[in-house]
Parts: sequence; C-alpha cells; structure tokens
Amino acid sequence: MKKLVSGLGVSAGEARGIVRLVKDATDASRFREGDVLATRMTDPGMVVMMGKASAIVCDIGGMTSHPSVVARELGIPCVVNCRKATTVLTEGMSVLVDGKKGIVYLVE
Amino acid sequence: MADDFKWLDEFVESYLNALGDMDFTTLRPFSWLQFHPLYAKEWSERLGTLVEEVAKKDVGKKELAEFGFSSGVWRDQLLFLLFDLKSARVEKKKRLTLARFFNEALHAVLKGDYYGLHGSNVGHSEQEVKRMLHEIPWEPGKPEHSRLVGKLYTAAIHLVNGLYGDIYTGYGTDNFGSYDASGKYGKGHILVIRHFGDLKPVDLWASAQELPCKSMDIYTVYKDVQFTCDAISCHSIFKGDVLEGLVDFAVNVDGKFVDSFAEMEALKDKLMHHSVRQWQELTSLNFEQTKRKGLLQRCFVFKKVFEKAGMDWRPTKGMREAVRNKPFADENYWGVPTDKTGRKREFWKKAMDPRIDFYPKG
Repeated sequence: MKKLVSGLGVSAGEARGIVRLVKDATDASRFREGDVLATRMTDPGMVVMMGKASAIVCDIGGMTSHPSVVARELGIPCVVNCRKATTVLTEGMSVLVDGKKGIVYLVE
Repeated sequence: MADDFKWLDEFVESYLNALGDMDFTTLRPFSWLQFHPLYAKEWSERLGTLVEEVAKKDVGKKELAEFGFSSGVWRDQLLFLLFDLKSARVEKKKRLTLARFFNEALHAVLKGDYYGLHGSNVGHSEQEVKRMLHEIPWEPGKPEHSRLVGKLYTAAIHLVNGLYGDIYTGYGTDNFGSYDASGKYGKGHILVIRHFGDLKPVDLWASAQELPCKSMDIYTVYKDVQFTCDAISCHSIFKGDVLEGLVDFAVNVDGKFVDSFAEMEALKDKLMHHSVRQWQELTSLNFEQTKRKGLLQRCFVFKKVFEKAGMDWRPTKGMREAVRNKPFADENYWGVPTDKTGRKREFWKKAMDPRIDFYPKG
C-alpha cells in the first residue's frame, strides 16, 4: 500500500475508514460512524466526532496531546505530528491508519 | 534549609518531563505563560495572604486533605505559582514559604509519588484500594463496555476543558493509579480510577445548572494493560489492549453506582452534548470576558481554602484592574528557547525552581 503520511504513533491498532477533514464542531453533521478524523489539532468541540471515529490523524501533537490521550481511552489508532496530514489527505479518501507504526496508507 | 527543599528537584524534574515538547500554543483559551504574568503580583500577594491566614487558623494537613482537592490542583497550581513568583520578582524567602505550603498540601492528599515523577498518581492507601476492590459493585468488562467507558471519560474530560479551560483541568479531573489489583484478581491486574470532582460549577457558569451530574468516578480493572501518567494525571498513557483487557468496571455518579448500561449511555450522550455546548460558550467569550473568566476560574479552584481562611474567594479589584485592557504576554516575555539542544530544558529548570533567582525578560 502507498504510504501517504507518517508521524508519531500514539495509540496502537489499525483501522480503515474514509477521511473527513475537520476544522471544528460544525463539521459534525457530515461525520459518519467509522470515519477517520483528520485535523490540524483536535479540540473539545470535536468530541462527538472523536467518539464516532475509527482513527484520528493530526498535523501536530505529541504523546500526551489531546488527541493522543483521547484515542487511547477510546481504544482507536492515532497518529500525530504528521505535519502535512491535512494537505496530503483529501476528503473522501479511503485510508488505513496504523497507530503503532505511525503511518497512514492509501487504500486503493 | 537546603535539605528542606530537596523535594523541588523531583518536582521540577517531573514537570520537565510533563511539559516536555508540549505545544503551548494549542492550549485554549490561553496558556499560563500568556495570561498569568498580567496579574502575577496580585496573585502572589493574594496567595501569600491566604497562606498566612490558613496558618493563623491552624489548618492542619488533615483539613487540607479534606478540602477534597486531588493532586491535580496542588501540583498544577504550584507550577503556575512558581512562575508567578518569578514574574512578580518575589524574594526567595517568600517564594520558598509558599512552595512549602503547597508541598505540605500534596503530602496531605497523596500517599506516594507526590510529584508524579514515577508515572503514577497515588491518591489512595493500600487499605482503601483493597476495600474498593472488594466492595465496589463491579460490572463485567467486555469490549463494548470498554468503548462505553472510553466515551464516558472522553465526554466528561471535554466538559472539564470547557468549564475550566485547558490549564485548570487539574481541578476538574484526576486519574488515580495504577494500583495493584492482583490480590483479588491475580497477577497482571491493575485498578485505574478516573475521577471528576466537580462537573457542575454553578459559581463559574450559570448554564452549569443544566449539567447532568456533579461528580463521577469511573473504576476500571484491567489485565495485561499498563497505565502511566506524568505530573499532569490526565496525561494518561495506556499500553496494551484497553478494549480486550477490561476485566471489571464501575461508574459512580453523585455518590451512587450506576448499574444500568442504558443509564450510562444516556449520561454519556448528555455529557457529550454539554461538552460541545460548554466549549462553544467558553470559546465565544470576547477577549476581556475571557480574561475575567480566567481570573474567576483560577480563584474558584481555591474557593474552599479561601473560605476556610475567612477570605472572599472571588478575584480582587486589583486583579481585575491588572488584566483589564491588557494584551497577553507574548513569546518575548519569558523568551522560552525554541531549539532542542538542551537550552529549553535548562530554561524551564531555572524558571520553575524557586531557589533560583531567574526572572522573565518582560
């Protein structure tokens, strides 16, 4: 599979899903169960989407950043500090997120 | 004298680990580095008076513990105070007096790993842990229950972010553990407690009247899962499979254990709804409102201590005037080094340690 972005894997596991580029809570209406939440950095306004997400991918962040802590609590994979996740990943893309290796792959 | 404050070595080391490579620009609505310098002098004086009044009233360690604060308050607020004392250029002797008070409070509320340096938050004695393990009405842990627990926690902690802002989270939540549960469950089992002490601060937000509960504790027993946290206990790190590894769990809301999954789901949904609403309420404040709310939040954290000392807990006129129409301190105020050559770590050490006469540039 083609590697799209890589970063710090902060919550182990693998998940496939459709990318939703999220800016804030107003994106909740188009976020479906199992989607992959891709954003610069999560915030509390995204809590409903985080609860539905199969994985979380962020441009910035570290091991104890907000998305990292939440993803581990939810038991879903998370990759942070990808730097360009929100530019390389596009809306509707089908991806595989590997939270252990810290890599997001394109699913053809 | 030097030995009396040896503990500061561990405290500083623990926060060096916790702050690490944190990106403070992501803290909302502000980081302490931006906001606290505006009223550091007034706050330092206020806390100095508080400590004197508490001493006069002979408030002992037991009473400090009974305020019901967990470590998150005393640790985080000590960190912030240490920066304030430097901002206000308070003399070393007074800095150390205040630091000692907070250290005594930490020793009153915790049973070990007082500064979180060793990856735990020990708020309970072995006897208390044993009693909990045997007396709590546990529900069986299944993967779907683990997801529910995760969502319940996520909803509650996001509500805490909205009620208290990112930097006063320690008042609203604390993770405790991990505790050894092998005595009851066998080798490889741990107990972790997620504690929410005040999810309904009506003194801070009128809208808090609508919130579904005041307190919540989530008890979880895991097998083959490792839990650690740093000085900031909500910085939890789980290793292992938290979904498959959940053995037992229990949810206590306002002093009662909830035995209905439907009730837990409903609570989760309400907390999620309110966490989004509350976050929007916090982040929609204008700049002056944000600063006034920040003063109120910080003072509220110490409300019980102020009241015990016979003082008004609300922000003083001096504090309100100090922040009014003032911009946040910018990155030049502290001049935190941005490189990773070790200068940053050295900077934090000097800024945090009250034994060192190091002051901001601003």
